[in-house]
Amino acid sequence: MNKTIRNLALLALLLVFVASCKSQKAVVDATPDEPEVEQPAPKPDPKPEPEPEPKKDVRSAPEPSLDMRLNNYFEAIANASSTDVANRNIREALGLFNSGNAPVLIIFYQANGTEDYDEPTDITKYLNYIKDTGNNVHKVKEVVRDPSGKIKELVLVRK
Amino acid sequence: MNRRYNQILAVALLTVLTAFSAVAQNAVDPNREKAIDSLALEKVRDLGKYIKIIGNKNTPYTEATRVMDRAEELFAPGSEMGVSSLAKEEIEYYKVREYFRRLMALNYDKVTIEWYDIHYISKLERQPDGRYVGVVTIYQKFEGRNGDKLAYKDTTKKDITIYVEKKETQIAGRTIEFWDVILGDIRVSETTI
Repeated sequence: MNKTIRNLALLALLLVFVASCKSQKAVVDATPDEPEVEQPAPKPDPKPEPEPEPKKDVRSAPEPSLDMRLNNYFEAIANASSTDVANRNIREALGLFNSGNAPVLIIFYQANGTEDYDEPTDITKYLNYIKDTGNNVHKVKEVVRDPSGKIKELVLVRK
Repeated sequence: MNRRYNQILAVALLTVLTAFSAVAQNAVDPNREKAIDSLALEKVRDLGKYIKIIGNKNTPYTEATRVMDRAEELFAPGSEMGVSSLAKEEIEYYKVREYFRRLMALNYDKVTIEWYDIHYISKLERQPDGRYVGVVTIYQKFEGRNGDKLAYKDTTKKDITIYVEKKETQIAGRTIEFWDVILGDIRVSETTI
């Protein structure tokens, strides 16, 4: 009888042990190990290709051909026989500029390295000014060209 | 004692140099002043040409309007123009834009306006605030015709107050200092045949 009881107790202990192991396994299953994924070795950053040098504006004295063209337009507008003729020349001259709003700076006095400017204007207003007043009293000192070669700023000085 | 004397001398020298520099900056090269005078006079001549275009009956409306804009830009805001007539004593004053509109609408077939003898009666003088102020006189010859007939003519002497001041603006990211010539009121001082 005692032996039976001891056996039963042993069996119960065994069952408890087995159940305990199973329970632990379930817990383990609930949080499965993440499979280890082999990380690819980081590739070295590709060397950035050298960006093409952005084309810059060019500030310079006008080359003789441009200087002559501009002065010819100024002359033609100032002495036009009619408003229509003057306007046609203005339209043509504006084709040399990247915009009708291209700034025009007028130096009216320079000495000892300093320059005195009139109120800045734009090319459309300046060409119309020549038409209205007949004043062709300035020559081109400097032009700033955009990368496409169009004039984006004009600096004039009294003749 | 010697060291203290040297210190006082150095401070005195620095003060004199600073004062000299300030005076030199304020003193204007006479040629430069002449150039500013000419610039201001040129603006008055421009106004005379604009008025001639606005009054001309052959000027297309769009051109006249554009020229009015340019002419108006020469003036300080709120400036007035005096208008006289041989027919009446009093002188009427109009805002410049209103004056231009009335000029364009004058009831003649042909209008001729000529400005001449443009000169300073009071040279540009530097004011304590740094602005230059002067007065220019002009003579305006006016003729209004209907057909071939001269309907009205007079000659008016007008005085124009001129202000010149240094300003600065940004052009393509650069700061440009320039001389701004601004016209003020135009007063009639005499009207003759």
